[in-house]
Amino acid sequence: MTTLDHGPAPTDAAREPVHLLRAGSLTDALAQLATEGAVPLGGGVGHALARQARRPVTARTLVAVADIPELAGIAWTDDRIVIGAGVRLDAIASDTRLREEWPVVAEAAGSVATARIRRMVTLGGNIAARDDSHDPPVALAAAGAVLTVRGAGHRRTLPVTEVGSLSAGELVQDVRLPRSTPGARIGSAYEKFLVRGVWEYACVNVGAVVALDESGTVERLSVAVGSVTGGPVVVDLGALPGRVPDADLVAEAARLAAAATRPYSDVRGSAAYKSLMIAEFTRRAVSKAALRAAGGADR
Amino acid sequence: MAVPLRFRLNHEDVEVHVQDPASTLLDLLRNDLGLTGTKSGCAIGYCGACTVIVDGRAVPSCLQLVGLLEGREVRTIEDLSGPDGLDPVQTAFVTCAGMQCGFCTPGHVMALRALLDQEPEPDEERLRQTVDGNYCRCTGYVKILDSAREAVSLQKSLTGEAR
Repeated sequence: MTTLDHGPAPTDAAREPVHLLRAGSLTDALAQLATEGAVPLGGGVGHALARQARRPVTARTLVAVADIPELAGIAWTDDRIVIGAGVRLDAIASDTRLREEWPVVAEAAGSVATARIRRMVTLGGNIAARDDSHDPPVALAAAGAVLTVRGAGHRRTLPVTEVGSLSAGELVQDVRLPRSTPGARIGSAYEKFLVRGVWEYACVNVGAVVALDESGTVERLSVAVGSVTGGPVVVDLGALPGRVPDADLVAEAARLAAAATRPYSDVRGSAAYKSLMIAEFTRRAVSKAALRAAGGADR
Repeated sequence: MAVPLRFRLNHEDVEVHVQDPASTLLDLLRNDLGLTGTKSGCAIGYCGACTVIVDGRAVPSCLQLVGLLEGREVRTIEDLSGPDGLDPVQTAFVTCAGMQCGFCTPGHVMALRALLDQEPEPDEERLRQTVDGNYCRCTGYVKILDSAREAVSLQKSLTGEAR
């Protein structure tokens, strides 16, 4: 479900005062988040939209975390890429190395809303909003990303698909993506279907990752689907790895993706229509990812 | 209880006392500071009419919470000027008639200003990307893109003269 679907409350509905705290460090932020009714605030876009839609805001205290140093920047090590939760989506979309190594993630970040909004939205805020039609979580789920979560006195990790288990007082610090070994034949792609073409939430959105072994056989195949109940949903592709990435395999992956997901009917389409679109856009995403893995022109 | 907020607005230090730090920059500019050059359109970030420059980056002011502005640098359409009174971007919109009703124009002008501050010689693709996120329901964008190209060459000639 998306934020724009809500009808407004009466214009005279009273608004409770909200406190806004600016955290200078992670330690600060965690201490501030430990107070009753405090929630993290990233770029503030989700909060502004909720207010404009006159939805009730339950948080008493907003803790601004986007600019604290521990949540900044994209760090590369030999075995992983660590993207700070405060990094803005436009920085992810335009990161040259990320576009090369995980195009699915850069493409998803670059497909969100408009360029002006991507300058404001933080990756952590986009994920923690737990909106099944948001784009980056779909791509990150396909890529097998893991969140680093901090709370007062503890640190834990959880798969991006389990962001629903975040509890009060916790904060996403960063998102970790695995590195592929040099020379590995791995490709990924993101496909988003927009009914109107531009500037809206997805009707369906699909991320795909394909890894091939030296003989060209599929070693790993991963598909995640958004804008469905409980999304993003990572599709169980059963015995597809081990086969060659031909049209039959792509068709089978598309069939499995449509069968394994439960889209909901809304202004962007009926559930039945969306299931057909999930199959089609899975076909496109897997085809493009396989082409990139094989070193095709459109890498 | 009003909270104090200090930031730079059009090259001046300002301190305002806001009742609600989660209200938007758009409301602050138009309702409290009387800077009505910034237009209020959709109020959900999509139409771009309310675009201002925050720390050098064009963003919709309807999504910018005022509480997040502490210490930042904000520029609005009221700040723009040039040797002939108008900023080169504004002159370009006049020259090319890049507007009909004019409601979206402040947004386009601020977005192009931010782009030219960072990239004095953007290519066609960058100009098109910059128009992204700013609805115009009159012109069909042809004249707006003409204005954008004109702004690039005007700015280039002005910079050349300054040297």
